[in-house]
Amino acid sequence: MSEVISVNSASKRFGKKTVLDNISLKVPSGVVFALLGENGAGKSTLIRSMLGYTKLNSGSISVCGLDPLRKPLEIRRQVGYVSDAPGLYEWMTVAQAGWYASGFYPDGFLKNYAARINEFQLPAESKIRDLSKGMRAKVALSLAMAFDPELLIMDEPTSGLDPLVRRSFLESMIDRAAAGQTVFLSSHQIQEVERVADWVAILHQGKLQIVSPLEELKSSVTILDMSLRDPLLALPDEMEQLEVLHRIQKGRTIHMMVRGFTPAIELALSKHANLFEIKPMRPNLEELYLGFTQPYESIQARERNEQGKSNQTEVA
Amino acid sequence: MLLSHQNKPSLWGSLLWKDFQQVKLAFLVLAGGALCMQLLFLIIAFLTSDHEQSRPLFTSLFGIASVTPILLALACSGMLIGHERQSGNWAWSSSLPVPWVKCLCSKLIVATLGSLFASLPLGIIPAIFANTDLVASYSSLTLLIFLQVIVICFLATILMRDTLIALLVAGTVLTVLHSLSSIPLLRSWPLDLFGISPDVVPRFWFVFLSTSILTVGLGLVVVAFRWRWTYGQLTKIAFWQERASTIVSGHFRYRESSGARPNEWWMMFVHSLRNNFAMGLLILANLVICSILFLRMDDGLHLFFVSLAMLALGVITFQGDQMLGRFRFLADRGIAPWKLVLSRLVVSVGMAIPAYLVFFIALAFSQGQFSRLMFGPCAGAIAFSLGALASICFRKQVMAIGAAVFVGVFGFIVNVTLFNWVLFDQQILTQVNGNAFESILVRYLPIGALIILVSLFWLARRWLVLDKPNLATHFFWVSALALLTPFCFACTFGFLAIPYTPDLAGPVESTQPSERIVPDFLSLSDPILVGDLPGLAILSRYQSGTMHMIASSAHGAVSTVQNELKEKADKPISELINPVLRELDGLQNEVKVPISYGLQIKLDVLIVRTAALASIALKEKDAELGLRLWKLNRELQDVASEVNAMDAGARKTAMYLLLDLKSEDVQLIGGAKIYRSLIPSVADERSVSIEYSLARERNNLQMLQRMSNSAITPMHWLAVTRFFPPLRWLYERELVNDHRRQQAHLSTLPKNYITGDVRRQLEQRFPK
Repeated sequence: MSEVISVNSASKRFGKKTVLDNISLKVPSGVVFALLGENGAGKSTLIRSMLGYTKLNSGSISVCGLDPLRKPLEIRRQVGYVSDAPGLYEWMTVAQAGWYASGFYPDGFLKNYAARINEFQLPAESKIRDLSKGMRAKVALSLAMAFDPELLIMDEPTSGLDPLVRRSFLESMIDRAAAGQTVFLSSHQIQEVERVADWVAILHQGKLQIVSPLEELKSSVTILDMSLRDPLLALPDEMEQLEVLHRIQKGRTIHMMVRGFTPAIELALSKHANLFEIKPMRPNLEELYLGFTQPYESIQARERNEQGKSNQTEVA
Repeated sequence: MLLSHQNKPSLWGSLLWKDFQQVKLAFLVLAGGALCMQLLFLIIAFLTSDHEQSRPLFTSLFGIASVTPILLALACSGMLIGHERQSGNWAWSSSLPVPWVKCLCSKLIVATLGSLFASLPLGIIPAIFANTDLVASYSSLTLLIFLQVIVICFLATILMRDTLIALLVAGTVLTVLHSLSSIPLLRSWPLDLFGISPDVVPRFWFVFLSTSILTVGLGLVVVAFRWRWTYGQLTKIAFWQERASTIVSGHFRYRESSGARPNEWWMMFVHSLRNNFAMGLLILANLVICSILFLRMDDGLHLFFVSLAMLALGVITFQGDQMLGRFRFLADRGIAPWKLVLSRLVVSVGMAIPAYLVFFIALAFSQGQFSRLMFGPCAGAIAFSLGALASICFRKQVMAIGAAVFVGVFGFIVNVTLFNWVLFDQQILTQVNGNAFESILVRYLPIGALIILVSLFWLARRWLVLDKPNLATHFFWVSALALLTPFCFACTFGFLAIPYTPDLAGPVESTQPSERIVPDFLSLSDPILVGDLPGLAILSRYQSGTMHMIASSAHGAVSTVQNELKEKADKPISELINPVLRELDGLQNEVKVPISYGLQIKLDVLIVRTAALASIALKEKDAELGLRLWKLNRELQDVASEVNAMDAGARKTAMYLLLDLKSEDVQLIGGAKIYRSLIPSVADERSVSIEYSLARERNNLQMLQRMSNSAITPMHWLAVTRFFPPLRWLYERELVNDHRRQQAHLSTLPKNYITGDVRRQLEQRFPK
């Protein structure tokens, strides 16, 4: 499987703020690749770097085998891009927007565009300014997909779309991937993305937390809910073998997300006298996302802070 | 439209179509509006009986044709670059596979060719009514300035995020660059380096600067466009860095350290200040620069600058809130519209005060006589309120500026047209005293501003409450109402301003000896005295003005005739006399009319022309012709004195030319005795002025009586006086008042107060 996008040690700073911190990832062709992250995590900056809109401070990016800064035009001919706020000309009609854009693409654009706007049930003669936010998003999607690009990069493409269209749109992404084309999207609609994404990357505060095929990720991580008879007693030694990604303890119950959970460890834990009601589960993408964006270390630090504050209050 | 069956456009076709569509409305409105104004001026010119007097109106046609391409250039850079960037279209366009070079070329082509083509019809009318040399010189000058405006405005809008600031900066940069030629040190280097004649230095500087600005500017545009199109899209160019202690909350910023909840009024005020402060400072800086550069120019120019600055200050009043729909934030929080309007107006009006100060200081230094002291603030108030109204009614800055400028200029022209028609009917300047009505009209101008300001509060409610309210139509009818109200008020209720009803008595003869009141008349400056005399004053301003101007007009007269001689080098100088003699023949019948403005003009021209020709003839050592012409000149002056059609400015010019004669020339015409006989006889200018004033007032009243009895004809349909009977009442009273004031003033003047100084020098040259 060849790589459509390759990011190597990419770093970007705006003033003193580091927006991308040594990011490396590779996107294979023919997949739906989802980039997840909280607001301000650096998703849009990474996407803009891929299209040559942002100059990296260090590192390199290759899209379809091309350097975005050196060959921006070639990249735009091969990549369809939908930004989170597509600035379409408001005075144009839906048809005029397509007619205008068709001048820059090979033959067949107009036909495909007409088919798309029919599919989305867009009024061809309506001005863009008279359309709702969702309809504008549909126009932008139609324009980006009309030339059948090898790679489709979308920044929050489904925001503003109604559930039916969102579902049909995301399913069409699967069809594209099946046809050998690549879809790279960033989204907050985790449940929707989970249905279509083959690969997932999670970006948190400019750092890449994980890049992995979704199924592989799901199978490698386990959510562990268990109860303690005595919370003051130490946990069994087998727990040391697990990589704890996320952990919340409330009274006698513990909720953990771990890696490396094997049947042998499960058996050992079940025999431990202090533990009972051990429930291992496969996580969904939302749980994985929360696990990676609120890692164990940060929770520990937060708990320590809260503990400190409560102690101070008691002393006062 | 069946998209799938349509033909795909070419890349160039797409780009040019898109760019043209964006600016076509601006082309239509600006060029169409300018054409309408030209037609209006043309109608005014043809309605006047004497076409000699229409010359300023024909000059205005040139002015409109020259300014419109520059306005179009501003609109194009604003729409094609500034607005595209602000509305996010730029980002989408750059995501398409379009080479940045082609995109830039398309914008430049549409802006340049489009503006020029749209301006072409505006050149037709001036070309018909003016000589081709004038058209050619105007065209080349306008083209050079237009290209510079395009390049600098493109550069500024590419670099800066805010369109209005960018256009202001571009205007400042261009003005400052062109003012370099006025610095003596810089001015002298072409002389030293290239040995260029001092006469050619201004032209050299203009061509040098224009070429430099175009070359460097175009290079920078290319570099900046490429950078903005690719990886410089999000880079902000700010005049200052945000302080780290400020944090962002929604659209507001506040200090971290201020723990207490801020006062609502204070927040609104700070918000308004942050919206407008930078732009307001920039506008003030522009005004200061322009006022300094044109310090010694006419006060009308300063009036124009301050009106423009006030209009710009008005436009920025609500533009900060319009940008990105920030007013929604306030609307959603239930801010009262009146509070919003008041907080914005306080900041803008606060900035308008320094603008007025600059205006008053500039007036003090200018050569004008504070005639605009009253008119300036009133016109500024109207311009400011128009700008503020446009900024609340139009979301796009470019549209707001365009609409405010258009309505302001159009309103001014309509008012002036009506004003002229009402006052002067078909016989400009000679019949009705304009000062009487002008002072009344100025008093009512603030009512127009008040109407707009009140409507601002009313429209603010719609602006905040309704979703996407269409306020453009409100702008036009409110501004039309505001611009016509002062005129209608002046017509209808002007008489209320007059406290008593004086009778039309004869002239007030002063029993005071003038010498006692003004012991040394030479210490008086001409323009103040002349400027106070209506009728004569207007002529004098154009033709004589200050003493310096009289002296320079004498030299100008000589140089004009010299140029004619050069052009007709193969003809002897005596042939040039023939047209002068032919004109003299035509005067035979006209001199029978006691007061005629046309006759006065012709006599003045002839007096100056014969004196200038005489001087040149003597320089050419043609003693016979020189003497003949000086005698003719003397006779003309006597005729002019007899028929009370003497303009003291022309007489003074002729006398200066006589004073300038060299001793050998005097010997050539026959010596001191002959020279003394050429000195015009003493004409009592004070009596002439009194007679002139009396005759004119009588004519005023006769004309008013004629107008009330005449039938309504298509040519009279605009004479609104008949629909406002109180206006006639006003006229009669104001005319009499004004007449009495003039008589009182005239009686205090010494005899020969205009030409006395030069006469004294003439007589002292060869004393008896």
